[in-house]
Amino acid sequence: MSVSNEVMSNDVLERQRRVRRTTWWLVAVALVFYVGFIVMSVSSSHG
Amino acid sequence: MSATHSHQDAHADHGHDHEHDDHHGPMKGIKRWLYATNHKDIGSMYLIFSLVMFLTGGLMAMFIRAELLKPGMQILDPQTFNSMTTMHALIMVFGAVMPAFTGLANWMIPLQVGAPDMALPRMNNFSFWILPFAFSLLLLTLLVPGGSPAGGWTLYPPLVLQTGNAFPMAIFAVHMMGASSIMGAINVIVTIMNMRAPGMTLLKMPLFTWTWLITAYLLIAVMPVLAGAVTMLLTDHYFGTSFFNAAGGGDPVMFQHIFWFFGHPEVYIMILPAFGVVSEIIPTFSRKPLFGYDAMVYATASIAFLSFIVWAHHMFTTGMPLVGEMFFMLSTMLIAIPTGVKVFNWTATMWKGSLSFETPMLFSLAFLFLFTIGGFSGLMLAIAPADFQYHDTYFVVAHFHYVLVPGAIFSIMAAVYYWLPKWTGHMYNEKLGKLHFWLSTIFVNVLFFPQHFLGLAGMPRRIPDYSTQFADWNFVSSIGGFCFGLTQLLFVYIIWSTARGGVKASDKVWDSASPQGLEWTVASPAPYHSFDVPPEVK
Repeated sequence: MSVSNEVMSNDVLERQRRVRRTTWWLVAVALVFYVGFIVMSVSSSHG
Repeated sequence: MSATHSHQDAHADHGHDHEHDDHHGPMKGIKRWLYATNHKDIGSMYLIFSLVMFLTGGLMAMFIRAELLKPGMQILDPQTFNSMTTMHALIMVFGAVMPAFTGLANWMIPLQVGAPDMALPRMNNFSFWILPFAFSLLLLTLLVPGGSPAGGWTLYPPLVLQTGNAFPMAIFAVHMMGASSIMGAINVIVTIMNMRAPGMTLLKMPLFTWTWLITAYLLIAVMPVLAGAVTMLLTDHYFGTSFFNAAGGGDPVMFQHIFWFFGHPEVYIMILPAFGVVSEIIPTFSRKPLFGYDAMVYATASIAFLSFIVWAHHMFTTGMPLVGEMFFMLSTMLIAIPTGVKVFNWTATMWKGSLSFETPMLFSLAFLFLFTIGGFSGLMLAIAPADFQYHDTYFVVAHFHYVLVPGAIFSIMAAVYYWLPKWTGHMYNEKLGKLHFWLSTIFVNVLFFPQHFLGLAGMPRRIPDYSTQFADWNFVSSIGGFCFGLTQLLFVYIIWSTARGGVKASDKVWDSASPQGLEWTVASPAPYHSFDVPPEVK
């Protein structure tokens, strides 16, 4: 593999890593809002 | 912004190295759509789906206006009338407006940021294909014994808990819509943050992409909140919990707080991309760059932030403390500032511009005037003591329809006319486009403006019958509604005939206006694969 191909594939891999990292962060944020609001509702009930 | 990149090239895909099979064309037949991962195919499916939903929700609106044409009960029983208002709203919000903007995002964001596709193409396919199932399920509730949900799109308990067997179907449908929206939003953010062409810094992005980035963050924050709220409704109904049941220690008003924590940002989810569309079109047909680009970005972000701290202005009459009313009244009024910045900047963009009035520009101008009317009536509703009078009247119906129809929907129509030649390679018929514009603009006002008078005179919303003093303006409103509905068949015809053929569109499409942006550097129709080689943005 030539040097430029190596550089390119590193770029591609790095981009894939960034895509995966951003995706999981956003999934985590969505889950925090989902669970967080249910937990908040439980704690504000007076049963 | 300028792009150095030859005319893509994208056709080049068939010319070069075929070591991998990732440069193939579309699959044949139904598989192309079922297994679609191409952002343009998925964008088209979203747009067609939203058009079908627009017609379905519109048909329900026709039933509503037919019932309200004159006093007395005509064609619907009260339960069916309430089902119609509830389903009309759910279908228009989640089935028509949101998927239309997601379709535009799918088509345009990769083209505007110079990316070959969305970052997560398989998830893109999944997020679209959930929708037909979600809406089939929702529409099937009309056939279930006990009828479909009829307590309004806000699904307030305890009323909504009286729904029959349709209840879990509707809740599951809402969950699926939410999941689809969250996946779509994740895709948009990941694409914009990671797939921009070299040199495309954040503050060089087109405004449509910017507004969608901010909208996507709103979606990720609030759609799970809606999902949480309806999950709790479900457990209250079937598993004996008492989240919203006062007898068990719960609080039905808490549902309203949670719902509107989702519901108000949802309003901006439906309008921020509209701001983006108008911010693309007005500069093109003014032949000037957008006035105050940075201010537009910051104003959009400010509106998004403020949308999280205004939710209880929907609940002034629930009896909250005075300090709460003051807070939510003032925070709501603050939204007028960044919105005013936007209206000022659009106007300043046109100032001394060399204007021309093609159909997309006409719809954008109508947006500017009519959305502002909706904004002003919103300001009136924000005043807590006045809201006690307006609350749950037709004034509210007039307000949010001005924001959503000549606001969000007109911007979607403007976007379709603006980018349709890029999608299909054909120019639409300008005369028919202008006819569609003028009929829509006249009849949308005949339909909704009288509803201000009805509301101020005290006519409540969500009623199938009314006192005779409301008869005249209801008659006018219904006639406007029928004519507006019929006019939209012309829109369908224009899209259909443009997709089938017509005068060939150039690559720039709006040549005399020299539109800016990477989407105009690709061929018309946009090739199946674009930006295989990332363009350099200077």
